[in-house]
Amino acid sequence: MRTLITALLLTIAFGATHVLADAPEAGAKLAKLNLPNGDYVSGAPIASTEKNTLKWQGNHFTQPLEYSLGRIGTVHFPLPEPLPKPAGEYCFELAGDDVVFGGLVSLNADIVEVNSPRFGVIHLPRASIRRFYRWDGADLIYLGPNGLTGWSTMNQEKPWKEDGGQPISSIEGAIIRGDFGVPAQAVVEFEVSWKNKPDFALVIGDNGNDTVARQAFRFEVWIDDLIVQRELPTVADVASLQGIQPGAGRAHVIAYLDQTKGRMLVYAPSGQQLADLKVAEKDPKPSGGLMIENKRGDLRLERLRISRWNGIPPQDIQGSRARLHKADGSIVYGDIASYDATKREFLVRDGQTESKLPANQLSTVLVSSPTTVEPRAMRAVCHDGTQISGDLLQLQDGKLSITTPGIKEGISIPVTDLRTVVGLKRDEAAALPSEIRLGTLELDGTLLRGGLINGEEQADASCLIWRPISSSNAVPLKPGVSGRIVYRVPPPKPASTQPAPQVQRAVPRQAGLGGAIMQFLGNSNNNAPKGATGTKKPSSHTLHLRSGDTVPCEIVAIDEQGLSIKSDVAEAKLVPHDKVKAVELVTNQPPRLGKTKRERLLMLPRLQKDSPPTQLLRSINGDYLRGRLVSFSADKLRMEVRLESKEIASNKIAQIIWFHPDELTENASSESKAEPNETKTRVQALKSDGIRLTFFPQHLKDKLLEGKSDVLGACRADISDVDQLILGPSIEKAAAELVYHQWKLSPPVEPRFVTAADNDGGDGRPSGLESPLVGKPAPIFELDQLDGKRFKLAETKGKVLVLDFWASWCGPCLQAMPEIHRTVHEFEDKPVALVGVNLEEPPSTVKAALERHKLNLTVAMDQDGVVALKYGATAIPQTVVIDAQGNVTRVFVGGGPKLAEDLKAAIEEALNKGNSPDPAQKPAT
Amino acid sequence: MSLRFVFRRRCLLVFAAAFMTLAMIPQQRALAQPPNARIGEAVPRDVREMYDRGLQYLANSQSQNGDWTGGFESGPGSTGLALMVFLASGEDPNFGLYSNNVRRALRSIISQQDASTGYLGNSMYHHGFGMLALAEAYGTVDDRSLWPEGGTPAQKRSIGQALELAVRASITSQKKNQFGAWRYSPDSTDADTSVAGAVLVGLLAARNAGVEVPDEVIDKALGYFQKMTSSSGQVGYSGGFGGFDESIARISIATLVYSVGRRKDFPQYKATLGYLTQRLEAPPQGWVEYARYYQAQALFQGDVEAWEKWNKLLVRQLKQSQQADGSFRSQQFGAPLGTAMSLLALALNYRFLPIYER
Repeated sequence: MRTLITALLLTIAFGATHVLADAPEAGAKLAKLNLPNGDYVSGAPIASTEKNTLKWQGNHFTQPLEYSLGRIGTVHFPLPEPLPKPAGEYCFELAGDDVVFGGLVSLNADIVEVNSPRFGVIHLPRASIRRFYRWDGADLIYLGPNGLTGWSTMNQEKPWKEDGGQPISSIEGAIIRGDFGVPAQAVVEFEVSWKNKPDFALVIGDNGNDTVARQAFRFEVWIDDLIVQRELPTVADVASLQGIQPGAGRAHVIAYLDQTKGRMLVYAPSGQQLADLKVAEKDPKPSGGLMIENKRGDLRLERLRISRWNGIPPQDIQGSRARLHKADGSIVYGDIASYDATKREFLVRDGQTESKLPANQLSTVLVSSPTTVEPRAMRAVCHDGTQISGDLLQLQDGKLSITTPGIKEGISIPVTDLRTVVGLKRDEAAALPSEIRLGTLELDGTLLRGGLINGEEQADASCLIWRPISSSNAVPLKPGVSGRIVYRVPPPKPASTQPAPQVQRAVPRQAGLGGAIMQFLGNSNNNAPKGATGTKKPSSHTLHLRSGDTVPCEIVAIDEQGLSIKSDVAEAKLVPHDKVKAVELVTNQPPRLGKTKRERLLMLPRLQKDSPPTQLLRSINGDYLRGRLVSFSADKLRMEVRLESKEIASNKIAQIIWFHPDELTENASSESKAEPNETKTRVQALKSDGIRLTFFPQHLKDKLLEGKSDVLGACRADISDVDQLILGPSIEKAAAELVYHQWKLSPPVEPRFVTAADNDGGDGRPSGLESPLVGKPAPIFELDQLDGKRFKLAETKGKVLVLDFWASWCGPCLQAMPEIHRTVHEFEDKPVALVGVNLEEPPSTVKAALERHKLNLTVAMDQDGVVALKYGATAIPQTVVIDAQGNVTRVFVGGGPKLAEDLKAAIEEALNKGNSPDPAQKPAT
Repeated sequence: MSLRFVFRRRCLLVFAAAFMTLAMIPQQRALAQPPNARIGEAVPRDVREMYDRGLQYLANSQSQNGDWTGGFESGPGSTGLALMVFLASGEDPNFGLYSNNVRRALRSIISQQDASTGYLGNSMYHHGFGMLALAEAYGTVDDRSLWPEGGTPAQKRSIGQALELAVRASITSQKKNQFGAWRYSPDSTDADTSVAGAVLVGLLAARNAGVEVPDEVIDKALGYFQKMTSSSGQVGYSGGFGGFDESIARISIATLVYSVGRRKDFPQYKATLGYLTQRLEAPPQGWVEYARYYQAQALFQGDVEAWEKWNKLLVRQLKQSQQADGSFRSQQFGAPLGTAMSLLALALNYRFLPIYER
């Protein structure tokens, strides 16, 4: 299933990349550009004709970022599944670690002509080829890495991650294991890299058992060396492979392992032998698994190739002479002079000697010695293992055009075939102009250090224009984007987080509502901390909005309209109640309560469900009172508590917290709401003095961000004083974490029978199966009909019969009857009949009622109520469904909007039962 | 929960759905309660505006025949409730803004009365609420301008004649009833406190309006309510016993009939009133408008202070639910009846209806 989803995602991603150049936004959004400083941007590359320049359309920006290749780290593209295998008879390894697959067409002293399925016919200068070998796909067991596919994490708390298809970990003790079918005789080539000095173990021949892993061949870091070792109870051996320097580095080795003989040969990619260990067990049990443990530091697995080995060790190499390895393991020194494609024969020349060698006897040809190559601008790595490094000429029509010294022709690679693009050169470190304040932009899939430059809000582009440190341009954010810009981490906590003094209640609680209020006031008098009461300076209050805004102001008054405020930072004079979360009249005492007390305080009583309190008061010494704030002024506060109006001196109040109806429903459904799709830039500026302001910015000029708030009017924020700018829907997420936003009413607990009823039949309506009549033969009866005929129940066998018990004085009956009539009418081509059974009314009344409601149906007159008694019709309307065999299948009591639906289902069920009689069913007794 | 319990609950719902009309009491002496004799402060502006918008809706949605269709169930009871909204508004019923609506509604009610039995329409619910409306109009609305010229004089009963006939029909039905009360059909042998409340309040209103209603009739009916009231104050639904649960509507009905029946001395009255005043904020379980209609009157008659508190909540809730066209859309009753009952609950702020006198 997961595979399928992945495949689908990839299909979408790749389908789109065909039009990458035209519509980058729809392109491979899973692609990620990583910069050398650790920043990253999700997005997709777009067309560019500038040499060695990458244009990158980030998902959250309106225009592409431009990067010199010298400033990018890597670009990782999503992986297809399954990974494509390379096509071609030979694999050519070129200088600069390039790899090309293809068939050999011809060969002379200067040029090797190759027919590559990927690039067509290409010409490789002989000097650039290091070696080529027969590529026999059948011997290949695994070519990767392929992310974490095939690997299992041993401890979920210490996971490995995958990045660009490569397993990585920087977690101490993180272990992955997998069975990759390593044969008893195998070649395992791997390449690992690290950012800081590594400490790891890579085990070949693991089977998931720790003892086995300990005694297998292990590559490990011992102090400053990468070694390979094996330690059995009685015998051990170890060899150093390479030194490990502090800082970033890599290791690339090819291991030839014979598990039955207990032998391992390790070679460098150049062919140089690094180790030859022989540590044999008495009773070898070859295992096909690998294990990697990141002991410390970090590790990335970049290459893993597992193939079958014929057991013939690569022969020792004499210097760097040109040579051929034959399939049987023997070595022929000399140069290949030419190749006859028709005979499939090589002509080998060593000095004056010439010999012929059939192609099928060839394994590997060492063509030239490794030489240092000129640094190249970039390397492109394809999903099939092809690697090309060189200059990026352009990206057009979804294809990269690259020139590389190793291939005469310019080549092109579709972006969809790319796994990774690596920037190989390093430009000088970039820096922001000094007038821009450095911050970090954090968006979904994007982390970019940089700063804001001057900008104006546009319909399709935000006034927030981001200039990343390392790109050569600045680009606007999309309006409405969600995330934040961090200037100072962590932002200092607001001063109001010291624990409030706990007030011991010495006074026993007085009974009743009056008692509670007396206590609320009484405690205030007794325990009022000095200095917190009495006159306050204007502006000593703080207003907290639901959006998280924190505004110093003076609360002048509160009434039905809202809060009248005076503030130096906000233009608004009146703030409506629905925007407010809390008011702090005393700012150094945030509300604190034990969990149980708090839950009790915030639990809405069932009786107040329709009249929930809208505010919570906290007195200056920690008493709480729920109610409905009527008014507030400098000297008194009026509150309605359980419908009684109470007056409290304003200077006794420390905080007022607002409750909102939607907070109750939020609590009830734990599902997170979908983020609203915003189309305008919205920011919340967190200033270093604790003030938070949310507004729609209009422009940014000389670090001054100005705009308008729905609530507060004109707003401005100086970027120099801001710790964070929160963007778009992230504002609400951040607000939800604030102290006052935790204070929400929770819905009342309903009695269990209510909940139980809700679970039965979905919405609490009975299923029609409750009656004891259900499943039994319908009581037989005969009645006169309104039209003078005689109705006999016995004569209706073979039909599904619906009986509707009703009377003209019963409103719900007359409401339900047209519905029932219509429902039965839907089955007019089926054996279904409807009979209304009228309860004890004279024919004239019945006729009048039917006329009044324009109903035309068969009515049986239950003059004495005898039939109603038989059918237990003590409440009407009652609708009874009787199947073709004469058994009652449903009894619905009452009407209601769902009756038609339920009745229809019941009729269908009864009809189906008739069509496929259940032979196992016993006759009713 | 047993099947039987489910079944029982369902029955209650079904029957509760079937009625609805309420009664007010009658009599109307124009001098008895001049408009400036209201108790307490002036009616707040938001209440007046809400009421006026609702009136406007009812005036606009009344049919040519004088009734209201498209809601839960048309008939003399539904028409009667809407009629009382106009009578309670304080507008002059004979010459005021809505005098035409008042006359059409009255003609509609009287036209549907059975001339020989006095029975008002589809069920005893309609009968009770229709009778109440007649009683409230009696003495207030001038009969001389009620009917247009022409037509058959027999059909053009006066309000007083129609009311007397309706009272007679109620008494006849009660006599046949083993519980001394009423149910849907005039011939029912069973009884329930919801239908019985509608009829009994209608009778009390008629008596207050000066129509003769034998004491025995009232006592018998009040006795039925006493039997149906538990010591906790909860009031049973149907039959002669038991089945108590929390129905704010029924508890309010009982409180109302005890107090309008001048039997505040009953221990049952204390119990039901106490139950209500202890649960002012309790949300009604379904049929909300019906419950509020009675709750308003019961609290007003029983405990004005409690009513004042409760009324604040009512005003708040109604304000939130009034539609742009002035109506109140009731889930169960539809717009016309939902609006009528909501406004009548609010009409205690005016107290122009005689039945609202304390």
